Amino acid sequence: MNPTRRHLLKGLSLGAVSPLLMPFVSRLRAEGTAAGAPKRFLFVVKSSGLTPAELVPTKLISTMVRPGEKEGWPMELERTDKLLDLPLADYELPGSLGALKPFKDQLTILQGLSGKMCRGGHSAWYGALGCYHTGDEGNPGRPVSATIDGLLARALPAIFPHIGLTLGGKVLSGVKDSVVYPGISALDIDRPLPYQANPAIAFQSLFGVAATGKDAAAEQEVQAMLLDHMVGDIKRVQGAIGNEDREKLDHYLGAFEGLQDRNRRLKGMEARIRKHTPEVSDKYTSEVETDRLEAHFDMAGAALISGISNVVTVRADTLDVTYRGLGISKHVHGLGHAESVNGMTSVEARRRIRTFHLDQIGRVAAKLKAVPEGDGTMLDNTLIVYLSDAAEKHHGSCLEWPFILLGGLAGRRGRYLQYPGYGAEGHRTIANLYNTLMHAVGKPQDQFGRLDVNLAKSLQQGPLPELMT
Amino acid sequence: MFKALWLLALPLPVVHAALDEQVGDFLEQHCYDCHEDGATKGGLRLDNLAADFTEVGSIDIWQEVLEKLETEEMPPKKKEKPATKDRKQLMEWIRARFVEHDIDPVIDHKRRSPEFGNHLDHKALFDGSHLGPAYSPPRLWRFGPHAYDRFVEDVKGLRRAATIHQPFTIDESKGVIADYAAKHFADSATLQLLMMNCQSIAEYQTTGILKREHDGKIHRHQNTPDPFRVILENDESPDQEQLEAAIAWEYQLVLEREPSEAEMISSLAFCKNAMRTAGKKRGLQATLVSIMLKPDAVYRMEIGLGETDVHGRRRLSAIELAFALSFALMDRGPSKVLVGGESLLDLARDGKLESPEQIRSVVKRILDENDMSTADFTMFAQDHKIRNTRVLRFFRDFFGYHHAPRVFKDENRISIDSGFDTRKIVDDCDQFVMNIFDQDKDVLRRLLTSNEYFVAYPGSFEKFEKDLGYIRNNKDDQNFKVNKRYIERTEAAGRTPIPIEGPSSRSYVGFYNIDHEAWDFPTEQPFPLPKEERAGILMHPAWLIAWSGNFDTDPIRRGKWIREHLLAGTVPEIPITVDAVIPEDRHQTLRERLTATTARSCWNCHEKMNPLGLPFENFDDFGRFRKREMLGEVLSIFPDRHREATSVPVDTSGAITGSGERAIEGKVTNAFELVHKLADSDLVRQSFVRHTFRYWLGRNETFHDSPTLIAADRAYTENSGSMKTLIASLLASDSFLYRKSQP
Repeated sequence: MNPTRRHLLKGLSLGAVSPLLMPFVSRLRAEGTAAGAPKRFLFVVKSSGLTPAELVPTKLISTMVRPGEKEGWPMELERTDKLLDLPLADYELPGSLGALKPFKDQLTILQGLSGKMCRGGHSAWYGALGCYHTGDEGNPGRPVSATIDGLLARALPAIFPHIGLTLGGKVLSGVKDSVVYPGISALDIDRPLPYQANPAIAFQSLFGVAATGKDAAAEQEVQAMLLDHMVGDIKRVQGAIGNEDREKLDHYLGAFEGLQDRNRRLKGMEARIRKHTPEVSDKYTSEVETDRLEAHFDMAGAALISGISNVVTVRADTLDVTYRGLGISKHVHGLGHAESVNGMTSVEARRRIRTFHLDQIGRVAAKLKAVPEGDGTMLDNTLIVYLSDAAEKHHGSCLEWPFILLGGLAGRRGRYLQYPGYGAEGHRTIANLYNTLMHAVGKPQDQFGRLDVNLAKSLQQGPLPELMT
Repeated sequence: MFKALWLLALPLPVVHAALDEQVGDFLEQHCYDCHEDGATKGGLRLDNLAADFTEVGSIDIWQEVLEKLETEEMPPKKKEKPATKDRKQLMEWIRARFVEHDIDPVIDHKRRSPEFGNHLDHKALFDGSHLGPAYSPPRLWRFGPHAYDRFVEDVKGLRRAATIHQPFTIDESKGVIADYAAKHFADSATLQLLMMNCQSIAEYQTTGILKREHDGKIHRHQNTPDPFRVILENDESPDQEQLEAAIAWEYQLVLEREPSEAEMISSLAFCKNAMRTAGKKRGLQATLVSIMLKPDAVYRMEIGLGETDVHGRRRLSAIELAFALSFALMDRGPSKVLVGGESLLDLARDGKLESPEQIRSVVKRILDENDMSTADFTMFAQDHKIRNTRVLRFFRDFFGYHHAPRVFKDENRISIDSGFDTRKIVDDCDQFVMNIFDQDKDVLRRLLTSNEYFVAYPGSFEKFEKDLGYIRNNKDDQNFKVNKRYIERTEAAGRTPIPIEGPSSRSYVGFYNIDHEAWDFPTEQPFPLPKEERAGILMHPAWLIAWSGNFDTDPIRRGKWIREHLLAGTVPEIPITVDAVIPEDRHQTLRERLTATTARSCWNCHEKMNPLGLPFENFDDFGRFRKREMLGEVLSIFPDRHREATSVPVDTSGAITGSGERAIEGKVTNAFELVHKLADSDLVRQSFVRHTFRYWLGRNETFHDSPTLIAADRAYTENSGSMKTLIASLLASDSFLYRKSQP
């Protein structure tokens, strides 16, 4: 349904393009395609907001950051009326970003985007990656269109088009142990993407092919026979019941056929997968949240490096998660409500959690950087995106939506970019960022999700030129 | 001017030109007043809408236009009503463009979802103008998590041996009937978990599973049925007969049926092949897995294999019906549901499940035979004797009270000795609803008005004595001495102690405004709470907490719940431009803080909610009755700890408006008047019937179902408010029994 750039340009020559698209089309022509487009993506989505003021380089804190609304609450970022575009090379990163120091030249701290087309509060659900309003406090509502990770998964096909790894389920839940639908990623309308919360199971399904023992050949053959048998069985049932409620059996059949196909393709990549399979440790069966997350990040990196997937989303936590492994004995929700814990203020505890996440991102980045690819390394062709589904704070207003980008957006990197505040000239939204990503993978679209009707439409269309070249 | 723009924007101006002009005329006449440049209500502007069905933005708007037209939400009632013909023409025009551009109408998706159930004219559904005939579409209904749990339980010892993952999760939303047939699929994520489970089960049934137990030793868990043992323990290759017996055995366990001839041939071939490839043991396991993965182990098939009638409807076959009924009532297969001494499956085979009378009588018997009084202590919610969890889950889905523990409350407000244990409140509420259900008289009225509650009731007098005896003697408990003193002190004062261990746990009764120290625990329950403090489930702390916010009560969502669940009404989705945040000013009452919603643009929707929810303001956000509301910073749930807080009397006034039923319309002074009015209402009862229908039929009602709903409503009223009769009526209705593909 979404017109690709090629379609658009083709349409233009036939004179059949809506006048509303015209400005964008001409913009596209002017911009051309970015060189060295990213080939893979890792999204890391934390809960409870990503505090903008905490991402400001230390030298800028005195001018850019003001005290929080109440004592004990997070500091706040001063809005700007002009685009702030500063080289990170000249600045020291704030403490929680310490692990990203080696990658400073590939890092972008992105501030000032808004996402008011989304629901705020504890979670914007699918809106955070999809730019639309959906759900309520406890319920994600429907995915009315694909989220950016879903769209990228479609644009960058792989054996596992999208891998979702998570600690918990829906935003208010705690640690889970099975397949869950956290309500933040969708492949398409009404196609929410599943996440695996159990690292051991995730490992088995992603890297199992490389972990089989001596009876492997016979075992794999039996598995293949089983799948063939099931496909035949389901088709027989389909034949017997005709077209009634066909979709249901199609899904089930599709699951088997998908598995057949996947196993065949995994087999072809066995050596490569084995080479990059993460080492199985106690972390995979641990009940400690940080262990599980480390396992997830190990797998995320390995999946991208081995090529079994090009798009991974790690749902880093949910509000009922307690980071015991970090010496924090209150759940994320409590910290979001400025509760102090174990002698720390909530701001300190939240910083500790963020530091942990960014350490993990740093670990994955280092692994990617160690693998040569083309003229550079895999990190040059991989984009890591860190954000919160609650935008800028625990009960997000979506007026500000900070991001940390690391790795391969070919254009200008190593920047601190802060867009003019909501409503100011030059203000842009998260839709522009996602347009940028789609543009980067060669599937440009003029609009992402729904518009914020209080902002000019033209502002929300097209990519962010500052990230392009 | 607009027409010019309209035509300019047309991608193919030649086609449909005549109709497009009418489309433009319709929008100009009925929509632009509120949705044009300078008057973009709800953030929607239509005067610059292009007939462009390739661009996401405009498709979105057309989707919205179609939805508003089809649900008759727009133009608003206060405006001039468009002619039905014109409205229809526009809807058809939009749908035709969607078909041309291969666009899925969002409204069609929504109609299948429970949140959209009420978008069907209530009056027309019950006025007898729709004559049916009723039917459901032929369908495959994925098994739910509870049915799967039951299946796992039936494989004795399995849970101890292996980790079984729930493959059939249902995304539960508060106050929503979640298990709709159209909503749930078995996809690759389901299959992944199923395959792991099936492999564990197959191992458990053959070689056994080795597991390290708490004592540090490795134990083998195994439950191998004889037909498998014969194959595995014999050195020779199994013969045809042995294999057939093994296959048939597994079919019976998993599918409660015999394999067809073709299935047997195919299973045998697979089994032999697998055994040749990977040995006898592994081959047998793979065969068992293949049976456990069969489509009818995942989906209940309700195709309609019976006879076709004059309306082109196919009846469920007797066996299909037996499955449909047993899962509708008991979450398990028909060979395991007993009626008297006979299984439901046998009844079906013997032709005793044919006429609606027979079906109704069987349903009632099953419901009667599985009530709280006959339950043992081994079932779910075991301490509370709740056996019929299918019925219980209806009440939970409908009222949403079991979400109480999921509403976060700030820890600063509940220092550790507060005993904020909402799970116990949910247990209490479970007993409240199931007791009323079991009594089966004036069920809805009593649910809405009864002040006979259960509080901390362990299920029976015997269980009470057992629990208290345990507390008396449990020296290991760190509170042993405290508990002992509490029991002695209470008994010395001539009162009965609460059979709960630990003072902070006991203090949860404070949510009923009961002082745990001074309470004389009633060993016979339910018992009446002060009737000026409690009436019905909407004043139960479980419901009140479930429908509260992190810091405050939640009159808006409470009102929305009443509008949608009891008044068969609808509240539009929140417009994307609205930043729904209640002002934080804690020196005002919540009612005052909500005055922001009385602005003209907000009130259109909030009028449907606030006046229904505000009467419950004489309960705080922990569900405790109050006459005064505390102002100032909320630090603790203990009002006496608010050193600087002031309080003001609570204003509990509200109103029922826009219900369409004159008898209940008008102002109410408090929640008690409100719930009694609701309990007297035909509309409320019918709304309840509609939700009951949705739960047991697993879909939204349509106008075809009108006769079913009317009959169910009549069955309920004519039998003194018997919900069992209501359920029996639904399960013996044409809607339940017949299948016909939708046009």
